[in-house]
Amino acid sequence: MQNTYKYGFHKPENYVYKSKKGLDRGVVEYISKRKNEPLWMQQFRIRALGQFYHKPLPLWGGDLGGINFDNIFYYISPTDKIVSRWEDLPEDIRDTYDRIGIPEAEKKFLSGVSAQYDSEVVYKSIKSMLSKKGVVFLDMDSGLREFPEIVKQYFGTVIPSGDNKFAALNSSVWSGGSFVYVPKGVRVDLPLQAYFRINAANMGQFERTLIIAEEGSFVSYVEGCTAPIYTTDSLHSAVVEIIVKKGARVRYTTIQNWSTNVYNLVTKRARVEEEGVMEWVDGNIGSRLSMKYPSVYLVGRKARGEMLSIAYAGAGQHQDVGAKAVHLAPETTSQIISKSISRGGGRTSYRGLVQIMMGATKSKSKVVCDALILDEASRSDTYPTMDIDEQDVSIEHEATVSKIGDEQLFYLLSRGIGKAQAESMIVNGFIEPIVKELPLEYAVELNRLIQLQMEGSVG
Amino acid sequence: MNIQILQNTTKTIIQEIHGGKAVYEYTVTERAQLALLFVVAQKVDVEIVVRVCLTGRGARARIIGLVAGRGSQIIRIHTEQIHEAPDTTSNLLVKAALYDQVQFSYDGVIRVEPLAQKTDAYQKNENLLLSPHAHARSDPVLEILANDVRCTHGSTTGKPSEDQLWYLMSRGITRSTATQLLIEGFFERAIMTISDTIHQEQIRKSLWQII
Amino acid sequence: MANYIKALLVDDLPPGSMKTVRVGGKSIAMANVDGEVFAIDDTCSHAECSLGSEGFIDGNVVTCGCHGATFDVTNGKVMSMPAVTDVASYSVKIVGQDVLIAL
Repeated sequence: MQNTYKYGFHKPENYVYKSKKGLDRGVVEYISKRKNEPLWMQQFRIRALGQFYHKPLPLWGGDLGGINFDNIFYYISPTDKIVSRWEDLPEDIRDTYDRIGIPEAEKKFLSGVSAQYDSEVVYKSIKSMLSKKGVVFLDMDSGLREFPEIVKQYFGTVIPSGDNKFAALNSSVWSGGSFVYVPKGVRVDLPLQAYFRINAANMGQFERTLIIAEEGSFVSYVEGCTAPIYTTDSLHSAVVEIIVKKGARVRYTTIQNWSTNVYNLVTKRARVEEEGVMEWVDGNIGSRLSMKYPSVYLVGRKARGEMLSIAYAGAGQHQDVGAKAVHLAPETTSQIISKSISRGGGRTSYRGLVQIMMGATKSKSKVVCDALILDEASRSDTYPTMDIDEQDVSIEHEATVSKIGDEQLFYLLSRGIGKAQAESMIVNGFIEPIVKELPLEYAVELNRLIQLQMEGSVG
Repeated sequence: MNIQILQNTTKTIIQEIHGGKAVYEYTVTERAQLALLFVVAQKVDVEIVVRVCLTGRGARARIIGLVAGRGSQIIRIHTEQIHEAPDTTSNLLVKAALYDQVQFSYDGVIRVEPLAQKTDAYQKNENLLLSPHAHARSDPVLEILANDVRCTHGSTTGKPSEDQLWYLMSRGITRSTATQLLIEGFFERAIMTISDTIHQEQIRKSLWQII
Repeated sequence: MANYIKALLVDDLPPGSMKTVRVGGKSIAMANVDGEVFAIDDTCSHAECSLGSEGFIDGNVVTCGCHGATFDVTNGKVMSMPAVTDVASYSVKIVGQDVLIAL
């Protein structure tokens, strides 16, 4: 069994099922049959496969030339037990987890030392609290099985399989991800965290997430991890669809720190109805190349979208990330704040769109992008587009690229603080407006991680 | 057409843009200074590229583009501020007043090459929409490969400020006159940065063909 | 009284097929769904790609070839993003070998 607990090295293998590399109709049919899916989903997958073959790679963004589509396992069947010991982990990985301060239960889970049992226990109690409110929080496979009518109504309606090549790929081989349904008027105060309810197999390459927030509801969803995830899977292509109905609010937070062999290509989009609010908080720390532009389509009057983005690119990394806001109704508002840091030859590119369609009168949008380039070898780009088809609007965009201010640095140095530490303090201050929006433990971990990266101790 | 600004010299260029397609290239050499103001106020479609390369240490460029469009014109403006040497500065401002069904698109690049340390570069695009059917698209781009720099760009699009209109109207001025005053004021500040009053009049005259 | 204009011949549009025609100054996507012919605006309401010539038809669902937005060809109703607006749908009449659209 290929160890899906994801180290750079192989564990001893007991193969229950071994899928072959490469993608064809047979693989897609196998996936669907194995999951016992309804016919419409199988047909959806097959049609998406056709679209994947048909669509070209994008000509913009990062360099996708290194992806070898034939050299990837598109489906790996779930494990029941994970056999490994904490002591078997490479020392520097254990060390990083310790220094970042990952809680014990998470450490074991992330390292594959089977927190499955632990997380089952935690998950069960959350599950019972949620079901009392009528909230559904399942992995996507189970969501399809237990709530087929709801899934059928919404699946693929926000991001159709033909949207782009990687949405088509995900649509044909998706596995795992989350299904969240919040009934009318229900507030879920506890942030729903992805890794509690998933097992090994679901932390996958082609996750598919669908969140439906009925009128007046509120939910906050958190996924990912600041701790580096070492994986031999080189292509991660997830799709996240979110429906925010009238007066509802959804916050979706992601921190990604995939190892630097990974192409992380994600399509995330929310449809926001009248007076609804969608908040995307996106942290991109890892991966070789990330291309991710969380979007909001503001389709109802007074709908609002807020996108907060942090990107860090070190040696060998390119973060080509940003946000999109499409205003389709009057009095809609959007705000995008992006903070990026490039260091040691890394490259960050902000790529965004603010589109005001005819009819979206009295709409407002403000975009602020700040980028720090820390040394000569690094690079930073900004590629925003403003496309405005309505007169009675207010659209603002500003972006700045610079290095750490000499005065700030001098101030700290003159207080006896070492240069590396001073720089990391300044960088943490730079990203603070966004970090303070993260759940506490993520914020703490992220600050420590940046500190470690800056001091050269890791990454 | 490429104009070189020679070392240690200062040149001010007022360029009236006529209809059709054209490329304007300027090379600013060591310790040279360029002040360029171009005006697009024609009744036909316009598609231009304005490229400014700062190739010598200490080069400075200040570029202003004033655009007024009416009818069903299609106006496309592409600018480039290319910094190839250290200690260079560029400051670009494109202001557009758009009437009727004008389709305006602006895209501008600030590109700072690795050797161009201590560059300061600014770019701003301000669009004033004067009719419900005018369309504006703005794509400002930064590509920064040096780190000891400060580069900023900004873009704003909207209609004349209701507050400012009210202020003028409360002093007995009609709405249409007040709007006209705001449009002229929109351009005036930029025009005043050109010190020669004859040039200033020339620019105003060109713009008044449209505004 | 609706103005019916000839768009194409019945034989030009076999069951399961779709094409773009220009009729009365408009671009129309016409599709044959199990013998019944439908007509909708050819321009996708998202990014203005041609549904008839760049899209696909599967049953009554038209998928735009550019970004995958889907529409119901029987009534022009939008079924998935990134399009969010319906497209116009037109009455169709078959007279002998001719297919006519009311514009």
